[in-house]
Amino acid sequence: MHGRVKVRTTAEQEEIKKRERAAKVVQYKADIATVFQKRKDKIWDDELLLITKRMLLSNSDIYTLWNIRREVFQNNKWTDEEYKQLLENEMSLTENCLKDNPKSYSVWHQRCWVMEQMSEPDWKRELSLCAKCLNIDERNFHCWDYREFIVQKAGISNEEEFEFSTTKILNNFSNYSSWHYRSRILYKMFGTTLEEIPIIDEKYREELDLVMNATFTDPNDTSAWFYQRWLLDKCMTTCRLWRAIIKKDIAYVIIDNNILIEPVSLSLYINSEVVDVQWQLYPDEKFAKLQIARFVKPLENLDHAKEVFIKLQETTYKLSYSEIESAWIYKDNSSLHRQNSNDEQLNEQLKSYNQLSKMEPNNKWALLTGILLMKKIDLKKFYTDILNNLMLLSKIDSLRKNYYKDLRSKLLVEYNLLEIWKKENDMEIQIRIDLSGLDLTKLHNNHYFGLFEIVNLDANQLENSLHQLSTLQRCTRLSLSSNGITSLKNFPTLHNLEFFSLRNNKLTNSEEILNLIKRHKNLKNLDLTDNPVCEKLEPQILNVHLITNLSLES
Amino acid sequence: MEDDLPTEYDVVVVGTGMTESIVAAAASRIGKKVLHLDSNEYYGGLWATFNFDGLQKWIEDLKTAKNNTRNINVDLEEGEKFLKASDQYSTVENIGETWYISNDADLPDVSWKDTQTESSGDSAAAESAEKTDQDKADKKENVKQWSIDRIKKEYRRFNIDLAPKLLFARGELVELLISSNIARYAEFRAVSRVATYMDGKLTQVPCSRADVFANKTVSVVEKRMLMQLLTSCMEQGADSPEFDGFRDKTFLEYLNTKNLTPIVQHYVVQAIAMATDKTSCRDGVNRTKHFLNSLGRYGNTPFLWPMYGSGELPQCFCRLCAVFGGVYCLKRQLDGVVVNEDKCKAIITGKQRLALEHLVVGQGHLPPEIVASEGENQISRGIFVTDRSIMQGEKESLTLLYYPPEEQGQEPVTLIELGPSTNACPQGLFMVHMTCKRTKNAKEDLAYVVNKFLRAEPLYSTNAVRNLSDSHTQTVSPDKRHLQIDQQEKEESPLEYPLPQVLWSLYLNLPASDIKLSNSAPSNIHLCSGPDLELDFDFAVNQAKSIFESMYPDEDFLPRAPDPEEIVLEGDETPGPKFEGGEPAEGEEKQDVEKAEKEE
Repeated sequence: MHGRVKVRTTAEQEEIKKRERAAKVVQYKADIATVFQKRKDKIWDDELLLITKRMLLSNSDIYTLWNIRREVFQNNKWTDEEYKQLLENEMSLTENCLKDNPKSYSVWHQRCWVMEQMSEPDWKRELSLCAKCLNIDERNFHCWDYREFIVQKAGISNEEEFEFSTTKILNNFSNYSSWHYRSRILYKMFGTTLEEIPIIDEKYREELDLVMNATFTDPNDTSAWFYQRWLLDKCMTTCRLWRAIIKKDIAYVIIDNNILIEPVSLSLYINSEVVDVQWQLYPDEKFAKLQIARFVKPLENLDHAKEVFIKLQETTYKLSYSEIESAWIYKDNSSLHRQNSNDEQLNEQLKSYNQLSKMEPNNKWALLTGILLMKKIDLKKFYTDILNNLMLLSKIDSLRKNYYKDLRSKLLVEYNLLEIWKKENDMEIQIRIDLSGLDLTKLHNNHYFGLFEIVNLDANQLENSLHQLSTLQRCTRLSLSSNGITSLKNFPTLHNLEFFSLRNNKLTNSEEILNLIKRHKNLKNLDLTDNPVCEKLEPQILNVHLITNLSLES
Repeated sequence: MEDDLPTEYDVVVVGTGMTESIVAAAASRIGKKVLHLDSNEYYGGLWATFNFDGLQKWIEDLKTAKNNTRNINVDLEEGEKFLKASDQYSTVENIGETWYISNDADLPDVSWKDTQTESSGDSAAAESAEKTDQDKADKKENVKQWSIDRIKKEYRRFNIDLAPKLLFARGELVELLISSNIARYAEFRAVSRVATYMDGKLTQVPCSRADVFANKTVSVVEKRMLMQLLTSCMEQGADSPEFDGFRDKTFLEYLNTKNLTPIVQHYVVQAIAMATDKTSCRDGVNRTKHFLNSLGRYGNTPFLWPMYGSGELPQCFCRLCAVFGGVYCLKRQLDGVVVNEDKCKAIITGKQRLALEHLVVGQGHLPPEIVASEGENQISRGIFVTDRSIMQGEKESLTLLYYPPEEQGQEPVTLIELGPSTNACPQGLFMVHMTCKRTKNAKEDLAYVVNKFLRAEPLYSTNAVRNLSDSHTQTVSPDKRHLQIDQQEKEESPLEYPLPQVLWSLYLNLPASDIKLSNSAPSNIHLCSGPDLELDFDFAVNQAKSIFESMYPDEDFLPRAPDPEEIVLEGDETPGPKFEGGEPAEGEEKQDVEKAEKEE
């Protein structure tokens, strides 16, 4: 028929494509050989730029080529005019590459580099480019990062960027990047040093409301909940003295530290004179929160000392003499009196999230947020509600049931510790703690256990958390009965341990028991009743090691 | 003098309405020889879009009775019958055109301060000659006034639809335009807001997730209710057990069991499902689902509007038909059909007899002998040119409003408001389309909605109320004094947003598409309906599909048409233009290299 259109068949297409591909491979091999030869010979010429450019346009992820281009830029002797032109060309090259591959690390990196090389960089143009890119793909974190770089260089105000993040979020709140960006700007603009909230109260309220609108619109979208979490769960950045007890022969110092990784500087002053102290760090060198010094030569001048100070980093803390303890002590009880300035709003939020949980019974985020809110408002008041919610959570989100168990342990421990501290006399340091039968799986904030001497952890599930007991350095009586313990491999060495109950566990390895006894010179009483290992143990170890009472009954 | 056409075809299509054009394109696409005729000099029939001048001409033509009485001599073979075509099934009735503004000559000297959109530069220049001294005093405030002359002068800037229709972003037509590659011939604009009338005012309905999130009128709990309901309609569909108890109940009855707040219920019923209190639960759920399915594809609402009007779309299909060899002939009337037993053999047009396999014909051209019922439904239409949007907004919007009946005997009205950016009207004006099922006549049927949202009174007698600023009221006549008081009262409540002033209106009644062929009609005659009452084009698309399937049951319906680059002409031995089908990136890459090299 006349004038009838004909479309290429698939076989034809295949053939053409195959030929094109083969030609490309040949070209690529030749190109790469030339490039490396030139680099080897240090010939930084235009041709090298041309070839790398051609190659990068077809595959912008070959970062070596970008490196070589930068070498050409820097090693050749360009005139100012030429160099300026080169940089301009590089801008359009990276732009072309980004059109094809907007998530290429190397291209974004090259663009940053070029911008920094320019004598008169056009930051505004870059900013509008970013806005354009983020319109096309609002979740491209490369572009968000680049924007932050540009904003910093261009001196764009935080206010403008805050507005930008608002626009982006209103457009589509399912976007981790824009929420995250927002949190960073907010912190820059309105950050606080307060412990309870990350940003000043007024903004805090606005943000809580904003994010609530998002979570109610789509409770299954995690990005908004993560932002919510940032608002509610401020991570305290402190390094301060929490407790100390100094006696003639030993000093225990506990610090709240969650910012510094390296050991902190800690010194002890008696009557303004620094004491030469060798601190032992627990749980480990890196995150030491419990520091202990054993004085071979007792500090004789302590009893009659006028003043005792501890200097932690740059801060000096004054200790008081406690008659009850016969020791110099320091206690920071600020955690007992924590109060939120916005309890009213938090209660409102809690009410709304409880309602959301009723409307969306299977939504874990609403329940979890409810727990965080209750904890923030009043852990004691909502104690039962929190435990009930946690139970529900591990049912509806059974994949994370262990996470919820750990969270539960954390809250239970915090609750019990608070109860103990509340009952303490100001000049007293409680040495007894009973956390038996709570189904604990973890001992969070284990440095708070550093001063207890009698610790009952019976009937929990600490079999996988034995290493966390390493801060029980003052403990003389420890009970870990019925914890499902199968091995003592991770059990730390507790120097003061005298009475240790391991009743009703699943210990089988006698080597481990012997090792434990060897490690604990002060151990007088070890109860291994109701453990499979009992059958294997010879009674004569009693004689070898000076244990006065080893219970092995089955 | 009529052209001589080739005399044999696979398919002859008469009328260039939506359905006809789709069928013509589909037949041509699979290699059938297609002739497409229209007696008008424009495309689209009752689906057409006119500029202001074209519309006036169309109205004029309707008034002059068609002379269809000429004698036709047909040479019939044995067993053949001639049936004369008639246009009685596409009668437009009750045409009423009204101006609410005056001619230039009658204009009072007033300045016009509060038009919503800026007038374009060139027309402002044209007007500058008319400026009075007083106008010069406040030059900046003076935006010139609309007159009949001016509208007529700017006739090209109008695109007025007889059958304005939207496309659901995931409706049949959008999918067809994409799959057939016909979308390349058309441009669209997303409807920017779906409005609803609630508590005495118009509000924008939050329909997308982003809208719901940003909305400040509903509480967070209401947001959840709304999202929850929408999600359940969306995911479950009408057959879900969720709706088991409501098979024979209304959508409203179902919603009443959900403890929704009134505002949420209103959004769902009136704006999203566009339902009345009689809509069945099943329909309500399906409509909601249809609405939601189309969200998030192109814009903030589920709807698209064809740029330059709905009348563009039939033409897109005609274009494809022509690309694949279809023959087009406008201003060519169907005089009648030649029938032999149960087959249509040929059509008579002009002096020619054209043989065919299939005849696809719009309802305006049917011989009465083969029509079973004329159809009962009719459409009432109102078209209004106004001076501002029905609903205040930061920027120009394309608005859809569904307004349910207020009283017994009224029909729900669909209102579409187009701004200048759709090319429906010049800068500074808006075009409002109202559509409902006919009960009395267009004007009466639509009156309750017109009165609610528009000010359809002559402007020249009372424009003082709206437009006079203090400096213009130095000579106050007694009746104007009264008006001035009115104005002051208005100023005391600045929140009041004035009703849009109608500058021009047109009412008309069109036949709806429920005409049926009789059983004795030849089986190779396929009837295409005119515009229907629905918001979208899906009825026409589905009708075209089923016509095509009955003609060519084993053929593909509008498979993807190749892009021009993919086409190689027969006998063309050297490879054609670069192939770009499978991996467009590859082609672009090459171009980029070339471009880059040039730069260097």
